[in-house]
Amino acid sequence: MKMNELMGNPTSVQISNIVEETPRSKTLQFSLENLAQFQSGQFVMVWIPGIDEIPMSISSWNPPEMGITVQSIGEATQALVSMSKGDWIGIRGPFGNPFSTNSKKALVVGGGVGVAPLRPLIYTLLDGGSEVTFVNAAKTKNGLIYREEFERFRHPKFKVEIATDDGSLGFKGFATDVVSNLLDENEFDRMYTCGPEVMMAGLYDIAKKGKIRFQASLERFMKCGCGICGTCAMDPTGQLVCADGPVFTGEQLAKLTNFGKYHRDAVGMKEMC
Amino acid sequence: MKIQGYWLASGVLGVTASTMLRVLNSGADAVVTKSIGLLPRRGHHGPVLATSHGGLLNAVGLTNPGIEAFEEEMRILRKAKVPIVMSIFADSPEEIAILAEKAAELGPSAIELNLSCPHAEISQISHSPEVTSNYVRAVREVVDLPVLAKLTPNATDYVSVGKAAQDAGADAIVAINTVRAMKIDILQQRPVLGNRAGGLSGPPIFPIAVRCVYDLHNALSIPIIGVGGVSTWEDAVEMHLAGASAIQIGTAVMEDIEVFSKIKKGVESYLKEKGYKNVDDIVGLAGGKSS
Repeated sequence: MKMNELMGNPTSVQISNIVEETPRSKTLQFSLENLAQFQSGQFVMVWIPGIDEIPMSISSWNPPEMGITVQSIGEATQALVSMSKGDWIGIRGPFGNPFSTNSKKALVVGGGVGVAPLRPLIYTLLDGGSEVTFVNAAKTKNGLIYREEFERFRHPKFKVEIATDDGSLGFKGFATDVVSNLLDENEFDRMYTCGPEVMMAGLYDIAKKGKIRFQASLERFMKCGCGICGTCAMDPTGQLVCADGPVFTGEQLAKLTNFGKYHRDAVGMKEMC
Repeated sequence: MKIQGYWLASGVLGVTASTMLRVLNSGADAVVTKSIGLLPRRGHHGPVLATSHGGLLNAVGLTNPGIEAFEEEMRILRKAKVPIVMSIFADSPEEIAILAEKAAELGPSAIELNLSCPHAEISQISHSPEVTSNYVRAVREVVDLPVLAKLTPNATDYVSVGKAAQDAGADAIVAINTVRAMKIDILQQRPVLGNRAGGLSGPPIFPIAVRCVYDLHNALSIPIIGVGGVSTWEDAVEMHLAGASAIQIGTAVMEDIEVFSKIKKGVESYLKEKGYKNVDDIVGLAGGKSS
């Protein structure tokens, strides 16, 4: 058994740079030597010394520099956003199945900090010649991550739409509303999404109706990241978000009874989404 | 239930009915659930896993939703009519008796007593023959199901502990639980596991498990279920030769969920080649026990 490889070649790194994205979120960058390959949609397990270890989407990869975008939500993420340049963290991974980038006209929809794994996806899609429309949605203007980056970003095949629940910037309403409007006037061959599961479940319904191929990156409570603890299991297939996901296709999601419905908490009890 | 075949060991993918069914569909003859307690329990903070020398260290800390919430998973498994061993743990013989009664009502094929998790409060139970006996007897008195006692290799005299479990009415011994261990990160200069110390599993503990199974098989009359680092059919044959009637597999599932069927196939061809009818013919064959 190649235990080190299965465990994601654990290594400790020092944070080399910190970018403030929003009042509640930051991108932490660090140098990761000897990483064989990363594909958009994959994640790493991040060890915050003395606190916990949590899964984080990879939000940038410019070898050997990797970035993760963290929003303060719980104890571990709060500790991460409070870190300084030079602080140590542990990294294992990357883990999980990536997005399939086989698309000519892609609609990418991110909700809140869910945009993190979509950032490298957008650039990969564009590099591959796809047309990309990106919906960046959040509750308020202050929750829009990478807003400036994509405002400044000019590319003939790229468009960005902003949506906020409270209307503090861009379209006033939910991501699902913007997407419905976009579909009235545009055609897409694939929809990619990451964000709150209720949003993703709504988008799944829209994509199904419009017969658009669909991929969503799911989040579940995770302890190991590498297919052994079972905490992130989906019902009734027993698929694991860490090893079989985190990216699931519309066909796969159709078989999952807990998508958009419930997840399991730290002790394994069911909680509604 | 018959003590034979290749089972999923407790602690791996044993939290939800869906994952356990998946493991059974992949060829496991039975699955042992994650250890369940009376109440929900969060366990240790992460990291709960580390690796060293080809082995896996864990300090999950008996995370579980409690027996009441677990009922829903057991209901699904009951409907599927599959062999499930419920692993349970408790802080006292009185509590484990209450828990065992509740567990028995959920319809498992057998009950495994976790008397030996090396990184939680219960780690000390199977270090003492007397305490082990109290726990096993408490459960034996309230349930008719087969009772399996899972022991630690960390005890000085595990054979006496095994004898005590047998005398108290255990139907089989499960040996071994993980081996106390630690991993220190040399860059951060601190232990990796949130709990600092943990239990080692995987290939490095295989020879430790073989020795324990061998000793226990020679000293006891009840069947031994061998567990600890088995990842190939050759390991399984060795474990049978040491005295294991059945074998549990945990860490190796991480590499390949099909490990059960692969091992079964390998053992079958070994038996055929050597001219044996079934596994029973080689159980304990390497030992000094007169049969």
